[in-house]
Amino acid sequence: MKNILLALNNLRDTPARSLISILLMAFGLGMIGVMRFFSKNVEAQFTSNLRGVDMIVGAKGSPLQLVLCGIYHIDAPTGNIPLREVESLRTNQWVKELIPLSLGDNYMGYRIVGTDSSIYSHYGIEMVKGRPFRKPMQAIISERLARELGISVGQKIEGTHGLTAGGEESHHHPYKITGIFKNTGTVADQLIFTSLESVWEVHHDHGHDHSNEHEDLEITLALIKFTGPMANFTLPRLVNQNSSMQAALPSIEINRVFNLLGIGMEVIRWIAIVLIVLSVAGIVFALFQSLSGRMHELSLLRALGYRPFGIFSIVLSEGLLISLLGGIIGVLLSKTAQYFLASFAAGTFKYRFDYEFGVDDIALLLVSAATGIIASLFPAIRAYSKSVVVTIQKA
Amino acid sequence: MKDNSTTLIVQTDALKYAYHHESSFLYRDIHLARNQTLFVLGKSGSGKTTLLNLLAGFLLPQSGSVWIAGENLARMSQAQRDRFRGRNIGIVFQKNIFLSSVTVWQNLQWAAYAAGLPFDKEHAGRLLEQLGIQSKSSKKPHTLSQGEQQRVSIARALVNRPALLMADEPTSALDDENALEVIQLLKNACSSHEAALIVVTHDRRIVSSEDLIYYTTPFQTPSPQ
Repeated sequence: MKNILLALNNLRDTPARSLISILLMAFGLGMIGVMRFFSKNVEAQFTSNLRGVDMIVGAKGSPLQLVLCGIYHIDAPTGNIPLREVESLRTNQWVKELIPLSLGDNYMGYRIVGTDSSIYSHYGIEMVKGRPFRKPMQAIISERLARELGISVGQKIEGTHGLTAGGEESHHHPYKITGIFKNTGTVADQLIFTSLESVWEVHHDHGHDHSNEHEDLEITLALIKFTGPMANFTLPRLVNQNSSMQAALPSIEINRVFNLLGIGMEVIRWIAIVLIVLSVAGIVFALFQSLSGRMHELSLLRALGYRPFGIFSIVLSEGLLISLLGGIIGVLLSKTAQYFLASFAAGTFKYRFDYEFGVDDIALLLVSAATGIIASLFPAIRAYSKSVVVTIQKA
Repeated sequence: MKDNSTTLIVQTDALKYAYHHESSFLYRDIHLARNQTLFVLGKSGSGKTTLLNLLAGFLLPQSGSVWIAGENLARMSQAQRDRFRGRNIGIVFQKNIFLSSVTVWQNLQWAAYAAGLPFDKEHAGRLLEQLGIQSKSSKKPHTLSQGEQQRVSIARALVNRPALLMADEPTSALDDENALEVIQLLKNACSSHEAALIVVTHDRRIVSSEDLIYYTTPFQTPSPQ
């Protein structure tokens, strides 16, 4: 304890030198923290929301846009496709499951998605209150959404046209919330599910009975799961060549995104590593500087009877204090950055990311402690072995 | 000599020390009891500092031995010797060296802590009072004047109630009046602690007729090849 106090006093004696090492450590660790956050949340969201979707069919356009729209709900649709053509795919031997999605409206920025009962197994939806939508203009939402929007079962909401909040006028076609489901941890938690018919009803002139006009009905896209891997070679080609629709393979598109992101991540990773290496060098340098200024003090302690190991632990404490202070500031920095990233994700994409203090942050602190020990080991050994009386008389 | 072995604080026997086999120092035996003061006089390079280092256990002799308070320094391990010195020998170094980042009071505390002894606050307070520097106890050492720093050094050397106090050229930077005052301080401090005092110096101003004197010069000899 006395060693640590003395080390702390020594650090306060040379604040500029200590501060540089502390900040280098803080920024290095902060960047690692943000990177971990990014890969844990963003990559996890990307992979978990794939949920076995092998192919998406939608209007012709950018396949990446189709994937981002249909699976992650962060981009606009490419257009609409005739329901008739989608339905014809159901009979294909390679199609195991087909989930139709119809987009176009939102409530407070949350997308209203017309679909059918296939979403229950796809997203693993379990009702906790009320019941699933059956008739048109009924809708279900997640517990998270119910809480964020302050909606309960039986309440009515009015969607507005477009996919982002504050769009055009409302439709005056209120949806009745009939059920609330348990949070799934997927993108489903931020969607309002209703039947396909509801979306048609909202977007067509009403007063007619549309059920006989099946031929004209359109949806936005459909998620498709294959019966086997061979479908990869045949089904996309079939769709792209023989229909007005395009087929996109999400795993390929997402891979492409990650390859692009990956370069950025790699750069950030290296910057972080360089910062930490600089910080280690900074600590070693600061300790040696401190040592050369204080070698006679350490020798004095030896002359006063202090054990060599005590000298060793004073120097070690100095290094450890620098690195741990850096670690703490680094974690605070990364938490701040994570807070802003999470707010951005929530505001723009309605995704919700956790940024609570967790295992990762403890790991960062451990990393900082370990680097501190490694960095101060050599100076500490030097102090331990060089602190002899000869230095005192030359002081 | 045999009878007063219990009160003998310093005893040396045929001490010899050589640096790099070029020249060696041979030291006449020393016997010093409680309350006695010994002045070690000699020119620069005559082995004064080496003698101090041998007596403090900073250096070990090539041959011969040193007993402090009845203990043979050569029989101890390095760490034991450090600890023994911290508890039994107070040293006022030629240069005033302190832990610069902590206060005067904490410097005294560290002297006790380094020796593995409990810190006697009352004793330390009295020492500062006796030396007239009690008002400086919460100051950082480097803010004090040279004279004040030297008094802090003396206080630190006495914190652990050593049996032997050694001072290395304590008056080299002082005028006549202050030099005599410092010597008087050291003598008073030693007599009130029943400690033996060794002052290594080349300053004859401070030696009075009743003091024991030890000359190092005549005993420097070239080492036999």
